[in-house]
Amino acid sequence: MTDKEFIDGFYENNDRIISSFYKTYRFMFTSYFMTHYKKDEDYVSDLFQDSCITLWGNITNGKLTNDSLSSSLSTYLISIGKFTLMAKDRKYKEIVNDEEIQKLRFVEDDEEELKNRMDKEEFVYKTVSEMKSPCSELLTAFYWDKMSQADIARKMNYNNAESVSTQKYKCMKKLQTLINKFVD
Amino acid sequence: MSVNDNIQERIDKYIQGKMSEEERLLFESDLSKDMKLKTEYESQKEIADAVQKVHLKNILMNAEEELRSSKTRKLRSIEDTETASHKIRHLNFSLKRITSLAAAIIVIVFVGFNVYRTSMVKELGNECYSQMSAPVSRSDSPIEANMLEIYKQLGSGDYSLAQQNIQVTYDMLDELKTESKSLSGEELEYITQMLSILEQDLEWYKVILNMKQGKFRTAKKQLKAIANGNGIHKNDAKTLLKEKL
Repeated sequence: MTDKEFIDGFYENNDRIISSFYKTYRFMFTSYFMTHYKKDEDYVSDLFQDSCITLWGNITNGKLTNDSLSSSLSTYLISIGKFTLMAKDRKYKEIVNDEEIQKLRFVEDDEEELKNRMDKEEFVYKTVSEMKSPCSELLTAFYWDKMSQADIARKMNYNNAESVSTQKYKCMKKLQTLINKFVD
Repeated sequence: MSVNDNIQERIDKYIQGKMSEEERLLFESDLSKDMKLKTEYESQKEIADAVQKVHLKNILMNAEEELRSSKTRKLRSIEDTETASHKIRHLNFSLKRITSLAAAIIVIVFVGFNVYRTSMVKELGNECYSQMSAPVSRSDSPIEANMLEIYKQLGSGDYSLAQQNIQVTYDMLDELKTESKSLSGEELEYITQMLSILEQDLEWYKVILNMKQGKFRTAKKQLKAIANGNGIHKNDAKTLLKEKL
């Protein structure tokens, strides 16, 4: 698959293409970081997954497009890896001056603010990951698969789209209540 | 539809990029003015992002699991191959060892048997020699003198001298046969019989010589030839072949 096909696949939340991307670049990525940063396989495997998630985020929010990609996707991915490594392990802070890394940085330069935001994200992620049925399937079908409520109703045996809407509202409210505990 | 549903749907429409340009601009304008909308939007966006990341993480973890399972299967396959190869090598090694051992046993048995047979033939040779009486040797007969010499050499174990003397005596007998052609009548008959007896004795000495040296096959072959003939040692040869060899 070409870089364009991979980027399009990420943008469309295509499970198959994303899985293929992972299998294509996993060895290259892990070998690079195991060699250059002396990290074990489990660590770099987690680093690779985190980097893939960041890549997805950059593609879906428009930060990275086929037109804006100035290097190969593998090079871009390595850059994400370095940035993610820096965020995880402070002793690699020296790589922050890498120009490529600068392009990937979040808007805020305040490390405190960055840390707070990442902590919040982590909490939200954890709360969502602990969702039970039917909220997990319903919200995944809606936000990941981008299915209409009518299609979700058919898939999950709801009476109609309105029933799906009502259930979705309940799921979101439940999550928001849990997440607000973090803020408090 | 409730107001809250509408707000959620409106936010979802914006998050998923399903608004028209006009709708989007209006929404973004509302966001800048309405803090409650902004808070709701940020909360909903957080959850929408997290739902997608959780699903994405599952895809990535499944892919990782598939890669590791594939690697494990390949390693197992290699291990199985190596184990099979090792087993085959071990089996081949075992087979080689068994074959070598079997061959060694066969050689040992064969050698052992030959040693026994050699020993047995030597004893037989000694036995046959002890049953022989010394030949008569008249002073004017070099052939008889040789025969006596051969007898003595067989007794003392001078086998190579005995072998040489046997050949010399054969040569002497051949010469005498040639010379006797000029004879006739009773004299020719006597010489012929005497030469025949001497030749048969010489043949018997060769058998005993070979037996005393442990030459089983050569001795057996000679005994068979003697047993199949009509000589004076025919019965002795037959007895030996039947009872001892």
